[in-house]
Amino acid sequence: VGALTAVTGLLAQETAQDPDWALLARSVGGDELAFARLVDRHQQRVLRTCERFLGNVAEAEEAAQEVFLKLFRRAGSLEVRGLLSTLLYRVAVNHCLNQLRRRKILRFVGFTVADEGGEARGVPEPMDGRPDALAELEARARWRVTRRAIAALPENQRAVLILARFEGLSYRQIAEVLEISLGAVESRLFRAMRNLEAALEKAGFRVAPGGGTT
Amino acid sequence: VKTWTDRELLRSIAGELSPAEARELAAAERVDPALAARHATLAARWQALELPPTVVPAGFRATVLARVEAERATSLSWRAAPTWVRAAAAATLVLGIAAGFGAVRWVPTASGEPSYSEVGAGLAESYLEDLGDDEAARGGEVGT
Repeated sequence: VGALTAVTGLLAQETAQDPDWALLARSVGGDELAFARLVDRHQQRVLRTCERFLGNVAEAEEAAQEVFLKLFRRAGSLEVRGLLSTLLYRVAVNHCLNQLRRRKILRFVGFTVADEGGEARGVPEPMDGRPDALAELEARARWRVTRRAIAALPENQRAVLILARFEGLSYRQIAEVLEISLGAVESRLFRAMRNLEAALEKAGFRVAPGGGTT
Repeated sequence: VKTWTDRELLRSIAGELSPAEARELAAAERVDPALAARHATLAARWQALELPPTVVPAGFRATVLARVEAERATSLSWRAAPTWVRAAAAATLVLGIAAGFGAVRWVPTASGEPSYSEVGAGLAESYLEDLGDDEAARGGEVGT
């Protein structure tokens, strides 16, 4: 009961301190600039999350737009609770999971669908500032292997791993986004890492404790 | 003596250990090189998971706002439509879906393969889940 009270208190505190709810309220009132400001504040994280899930830049862009549209549609009826960013993560994760399920069905019936875990076709991958070409190539190889390994994970493990490793969310935040227990977050992340270790070993990627890869 | 499992080492890597637990782990690693090595390997694996940085394309915000504006306009025009027009549109949609399901149930498939109706039902389920997410999120609750 004490822990529940503490979490409830924390959520109330987060809600009170989160300026995004005020922006959303203004959007509902027809203030377009307020919604534009919300998009500005969250576009990077929403797009990044969709990209990590879907493994395809073009598809992620479309998905991120949909996430903001969903936010706009529901803006008038949302329960103001916790951080708006938590809600956005939740909408993004659910949208991407549904997208992945649809993709499986489309693949089953023989339609061509976006490549998952491979290179994003048609959209050049951004450079990350590495000055040397070899390092750039190595980085691209690592990205490719990571994408494939993540794409091979079961959905629930993939969600926890992406939110923990690439979004830097705490276990508590992940539990809130996915509406699961802290224990479930811990065990899914553990299983995800075990599966990734196996997949990376299989792909011939050995990681030295110093951080280098071979 | 506490046994440190991979699960707990992962909690350490993810920054989830309390300061007291972190000190306890550091002390355990000083006397157990195998534990320290395993911790280092897991940490290296974690760091090696790398993906390209995300770049928000120019015009992303403008596209979102244009879609929002289009949606707002459509929503307003539907609200302004007479009730009988909205009722007729809803009835047509329901009848169309029912006719679609009826049609796919009669399409034969090779034995041993899932039928088209099963595939259709899967697709419908996926969309309904999406709608369910919408409903749940209205209350701030979205299931996975």
